[in-house]
Amino acid sequence: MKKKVYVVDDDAAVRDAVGMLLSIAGYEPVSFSSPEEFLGACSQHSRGCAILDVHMPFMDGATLQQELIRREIGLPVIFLSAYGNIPMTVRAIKAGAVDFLTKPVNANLLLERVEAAIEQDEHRHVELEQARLNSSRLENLTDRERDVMKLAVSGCSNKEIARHLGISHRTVEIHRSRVMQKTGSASLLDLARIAAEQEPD
Amino acid sequence: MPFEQTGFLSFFGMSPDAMLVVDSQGRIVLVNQPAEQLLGYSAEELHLKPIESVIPERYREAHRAQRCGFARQRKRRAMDSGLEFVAITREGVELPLSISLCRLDSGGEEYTVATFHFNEAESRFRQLAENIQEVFWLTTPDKHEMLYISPAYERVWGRSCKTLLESPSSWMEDIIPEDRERVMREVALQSSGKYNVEYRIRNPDGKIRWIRDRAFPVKNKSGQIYRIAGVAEDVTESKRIQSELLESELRRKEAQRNARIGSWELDIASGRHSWSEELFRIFEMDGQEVAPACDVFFEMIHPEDRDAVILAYRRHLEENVPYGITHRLCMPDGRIKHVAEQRRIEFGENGLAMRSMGAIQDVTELKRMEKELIDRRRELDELQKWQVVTQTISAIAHELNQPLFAISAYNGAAIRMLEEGNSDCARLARILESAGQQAERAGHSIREMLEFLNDRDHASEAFDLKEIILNALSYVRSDREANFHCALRIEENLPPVFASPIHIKKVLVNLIHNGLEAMEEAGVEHPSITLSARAHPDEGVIQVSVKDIGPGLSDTRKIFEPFHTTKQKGIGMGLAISRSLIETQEGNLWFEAGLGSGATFHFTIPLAT
Repeated sequence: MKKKVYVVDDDAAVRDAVGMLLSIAGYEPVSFSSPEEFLGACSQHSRGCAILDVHMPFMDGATLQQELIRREIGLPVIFLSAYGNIPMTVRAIKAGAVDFLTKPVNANLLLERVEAAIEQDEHRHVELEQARLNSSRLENLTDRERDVMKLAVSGCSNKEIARHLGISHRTVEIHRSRVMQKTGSASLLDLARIAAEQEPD
Repeated sequence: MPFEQTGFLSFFGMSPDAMLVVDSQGRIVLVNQPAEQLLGYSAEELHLKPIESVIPERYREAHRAQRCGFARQRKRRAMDSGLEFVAITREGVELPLSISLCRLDSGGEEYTVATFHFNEAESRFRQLAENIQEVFWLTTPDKHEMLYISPAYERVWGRSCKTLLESPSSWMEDIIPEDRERVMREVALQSSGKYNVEYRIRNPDGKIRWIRDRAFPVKNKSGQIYRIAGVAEDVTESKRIQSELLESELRRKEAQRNARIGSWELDIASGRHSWSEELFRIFEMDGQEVAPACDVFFEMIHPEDRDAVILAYRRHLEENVPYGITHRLCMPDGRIKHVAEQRRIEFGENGLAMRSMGAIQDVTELKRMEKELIDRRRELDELQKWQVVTQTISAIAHELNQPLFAISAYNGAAIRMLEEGNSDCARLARILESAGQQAERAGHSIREMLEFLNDRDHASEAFDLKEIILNALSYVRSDREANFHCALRIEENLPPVFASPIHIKKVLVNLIHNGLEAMEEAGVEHPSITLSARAHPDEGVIQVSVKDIGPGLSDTRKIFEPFHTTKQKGIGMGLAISRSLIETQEGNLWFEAGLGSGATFHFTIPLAT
């Protein structure tokens, strides 16, 4: 499946040329002449990356970036600017932009950065998927299993868990093996990672 | 009739002098014809009336007292002659008279016969005295008796004449303590004729008056002083004016000093120069050491200015024409002073030039401030120019980078197609064609920028705005394929404006383009632009307005920022540059958003003066 690249630029020629380049390079470009249109078309589930012009009427690139963050749209962002300046670049990168390129950008360089952004998106997607999976695994645990897991990942031995919860050593062992099984953990370390990701507190 | 046997009556009737006979109770019993004429009453009217009836009110009391005292003496002798007496006629005119009194006994009764000696000169004096502002007074040399006081005393001193007649030194009681002793000393000089003093009195109402009092001794035939006459004048007002004059003179001097204006004068007949204190101060010379002279001044003038000043000065004297010149002076320590000099001729009554009067002002500080102001303005101009340049460069960057970036992307796409062996010729052609268009777009932008930059140095001039508006309009029409309607609302007989016509045309073209593009993008079916111009003479400007019938401006926050464009294809300068251009012409550019009805841009251009 072709990867989507959102192009947001108020200059029609730029949209057309970049779109052409991207489609020939095997991407699926989606162009917007204004940030509003773009915001209306993407969501938290959007995949791919976005190329945003910094200077646009009514809403500049930085404001758009803030809006994307506010809406939890995690698309990797490449900024394009007709004239870049360092503070603007630093601000954009700090806010999470993948890149900040100054027009005119070499076509190959742009494609490289698009590729990198797509990879980042893939990576992001895998992580999201894993997190979603982990969370669904933990969701299957019973309350008692959850208690056992919490004590186990905090370093308690089975005996200690049994004493703490006032249940038999044998019961702890059964709960524990079920937890390992349900969460797909091969080791206590695995389990600890999954638990930490899901319940940072 | 008691007087018949003495033959008195025939004498009484024959006398050319006015005579009255008064009985011991002070009643008039006989009046002769001259007295009737003098007083304006008939004998019948005065019969048995008290003698005081013919005496002015203010003397009546004193007279009555005197009369009674006189009656008590009961002496049979000719009484005083030449006594001062003031009579009042039926018409109210006061007559200063001298009278002789004698006693007459008849039928066991005592009568007094009064003979009036009408003194015309004195009477005139009296009339004058009674009617003028000054206080006339007449005393005995020993000052024990106040013989006469004119009614003005009541007005000036605020006291009745009667009190003064009764108490002849009461006038001094009103002199303020600071002056009183001095006046009392001076009073001794009255007999010598040297009494001339100024003092202040405090009226009963508290008002302070300045009095100028003079006295003249009056001698009798034998050369003895027998009266002292005096005039006391209320000089409060003239004192006030005097002190004001003094003050204004001081102020003028002060002002001259503050403004550093020196004045000088040449008396043409004598060739004598006189310089004011401030002039010496400007020249940094000591008035005690240096005598004012032309050469002294000429030597101080900066060598580069000297000839011009001397020429102007000579011409001024030869042709009697005024002149004004600003030049420099060299101080001994090498400092330079800037002075503004003005001279004029003052003519005498005979029409001949009498004096050459001049003023010279040290304007060094003014010059310095002026220069500072010019420097500041230049800095500001530089800054403004720099701002325009920065904006222009930014605009160039934007306008060039967009097409260049598009070309680069098209180029990349074409190469990639060729590398991949993609033989979609139609697509390749479209890509290359688009790239070519973008190259042209870049070229167009560069041309516009160059044009703009070249135009920047075009000088301002006075021109007819209407012509430029029409010019801009035809430029837009020839430059654009799209047809549009244009309504012109240009006031008749617009006064000429002062600006760079090319810049104004640029701005007009830009604003018309903006409007047309806004309407085009909004899909307005019959695009229309209204151009209006009207003069605001009060503000010294002409206001030009460009209105479209597009959707109006929805977001106006950054409308004047560079790169702020809502359009697909800009003409490259944008409103930021237009505004900079108008502001460098000392005008303003602003807009009305006109949401739904069409945006209007206004700008002003100063009138040519």
